[in-house]
Amino acid sequence: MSLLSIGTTALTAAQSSLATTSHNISNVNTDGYSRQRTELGAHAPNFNGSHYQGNGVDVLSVQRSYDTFLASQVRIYTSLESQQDTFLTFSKQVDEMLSSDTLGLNKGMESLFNAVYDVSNDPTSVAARQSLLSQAELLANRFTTIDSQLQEIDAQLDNSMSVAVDTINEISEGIANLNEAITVLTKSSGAVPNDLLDQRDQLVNQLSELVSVDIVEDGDFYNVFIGNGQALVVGNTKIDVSTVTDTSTTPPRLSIGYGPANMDISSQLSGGKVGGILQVRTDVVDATRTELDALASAIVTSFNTVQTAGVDLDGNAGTNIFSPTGTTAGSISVVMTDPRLIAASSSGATAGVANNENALAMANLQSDKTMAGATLSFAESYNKIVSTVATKTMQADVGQQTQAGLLNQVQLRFDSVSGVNLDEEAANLIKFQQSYQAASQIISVSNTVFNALINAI
Amino acid sequence: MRISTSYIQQQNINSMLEQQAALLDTQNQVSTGQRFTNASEDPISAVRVLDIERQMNLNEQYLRNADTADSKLETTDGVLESASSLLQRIRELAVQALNDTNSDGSREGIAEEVEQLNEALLSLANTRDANGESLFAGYQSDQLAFNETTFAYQGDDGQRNVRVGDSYLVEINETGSDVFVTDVGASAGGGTQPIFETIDNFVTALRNNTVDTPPNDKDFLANIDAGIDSVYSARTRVGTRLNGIEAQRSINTDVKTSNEALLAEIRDLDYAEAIARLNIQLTGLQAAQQSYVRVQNLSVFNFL
Repeated sequence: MSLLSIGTTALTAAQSSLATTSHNISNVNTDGYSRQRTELGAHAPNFNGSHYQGNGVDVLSVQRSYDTFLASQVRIYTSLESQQDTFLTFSKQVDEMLSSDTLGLNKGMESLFNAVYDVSNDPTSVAARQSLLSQAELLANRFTTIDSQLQEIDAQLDNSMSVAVDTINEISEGIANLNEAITVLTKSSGAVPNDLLDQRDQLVNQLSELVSVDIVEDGDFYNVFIGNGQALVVGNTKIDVSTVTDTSTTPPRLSIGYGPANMDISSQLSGGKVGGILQVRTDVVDATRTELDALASAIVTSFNTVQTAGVDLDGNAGTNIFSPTGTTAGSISVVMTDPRLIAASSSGATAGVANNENALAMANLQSDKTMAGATLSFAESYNKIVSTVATKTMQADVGQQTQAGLLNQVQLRFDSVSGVNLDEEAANLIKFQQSYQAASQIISVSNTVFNALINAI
Repeated sequence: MRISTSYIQQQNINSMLEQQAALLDTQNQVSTGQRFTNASEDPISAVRVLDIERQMNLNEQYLRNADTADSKLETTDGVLESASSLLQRIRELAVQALNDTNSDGSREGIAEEVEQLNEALLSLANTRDANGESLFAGYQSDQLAFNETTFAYQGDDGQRNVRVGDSYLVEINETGSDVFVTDVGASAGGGTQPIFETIDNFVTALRNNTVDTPPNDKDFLANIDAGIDSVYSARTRVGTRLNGIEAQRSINTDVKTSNEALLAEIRDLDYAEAIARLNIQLTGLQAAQQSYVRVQNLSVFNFL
């Protein structure tokens, strides 16, 4: 091969390397971009009778730097971090609500018992009795307000869930389309379209923010699985997830359905935003609502029991103060409207307008262990609710920071393989520029050599 | 290790964001004066705060209950004091009346005065407090304690308790049957009798000139002494309870003070520490910002 042709291969190689370097520099801020390099190889030599003569350089391929193991680590920690982060966002709302002076139940219960004591001090005072009724209503209001706030959080969770489901389906479609494009391009050219691979990996990363995914490579395809092996993408087809309404709870809410049959797979999903939503719903929202219902029920039952054991200001047997049917945090309500009906007096021979024995019994409910198998008072039970949510929120906070730290670590390692470093590219730019200049010299020298030959004739 | 340019950039930004978040936390603490606003920031302390606040609230209630008890008992004590001086005066007049040297006219005068005093005594026993409740009618406080013509006790034995401490219930009333219904000697029929009836019988005897006949002779003095004793012992009981309440009040006040101190220790911010921390964090943030700017300027491209 002639000097000119060798010079040409050198020029082509330097140009390709320069182009790849420029491509890297251009994509320094592109999310999910993996740096590329031009792989060069010496051209097959010619046998010249006694020796092999080198024939210049070939551009073998343009490769992306990508480590499959590190990429899967990044996905795993992305899912874990996203789950904790979602849990924390919603758990914090419940925590703030229960810690608030204006919404929290502790102040409401204290005010009610203060009013009960005032009635016991002065059982004939209608004003004191009226104040007790008002405080009972305010407490019932606090219960229903907290419950409706929790339902509001439930609705937000539903909303986030349906957005997540829509996004999952869009991403699945994107991955399926890229699977198709990558296969077609690879088959037709025999070379790998690096930038499309990056796009597909980026989509998988985005998917793992929403839910934990398993990737199984099948030839040029990515097959994507969630849960216990439910396929989202197989080859170039996707299978949709959907939201299904779960009516077993009050109010009804959304679960995740799979495939055309909309089979409920919520219990099998973990990780990511969806995992966080499902976890915070069970661990915080549901748990808190159950405990609050138990507290409301205990308050209603205890107060009504004491009430009906006593005698009111007019000597009649006591009646319910709270509606006996409203035994949840959302339905607790005061049915008594006439303050004279508060049964401050004990019944029997000692009944009388100035008798406060029943009011004292009512005041004793404040410290009586009426809940959790006679081990907790109302206030202690509420404290338990507050501390459970607070502890879970704090754990999620610590967990989120831990996972974010771990994600940062694997991201650093992943980037050390795939990330673009501008200083490195600048050095490469100089290196390939010099190669290009040197290759140009080969052309120039071949010209000089040729001229020398021509002039010799 | 190779480090990508975008990783360096992101690290610098993350570092600044973290410093800012920490700074904001400290600023929040300094502006509220509390170590935490939400329970999740310190669950154990937050629940202790709830417990202490409830304890403090209950304690305040006990102090208010003690005020109620004090006012009721002090009113009772004042009435009993007046009643005992009325009874003393009646006894003096009785001693004078039983003196043989009295003329009919002077006996009538004494009868008149004793009758007036008895009415005053009855009205004391029927005293209503500021809320219109009969002081001595037990739980039947909407009734007069004693019938104004028959002198019969119309109340009951109910004694209202007020809680002034976790395990301290104090009775805040004396019943008319305890104070003004006393044992009388056999000559007056034995058993118990409202003191007003005893005195009224004596007045009648004075007018009928039968004060030599039991029970309106020296037996009356014994019966009236029993009444005076009864009022005295009621005053003693009231005084004992007032002392008990006072003792409990000082306990409650101590508990309040120590709870306040405890609450401050758990919840309140140590300003000196917080301000020092704020300064350190400010310095940290400035350092992060400066290092960001410097590192950003560092590039081989600057030299090409």
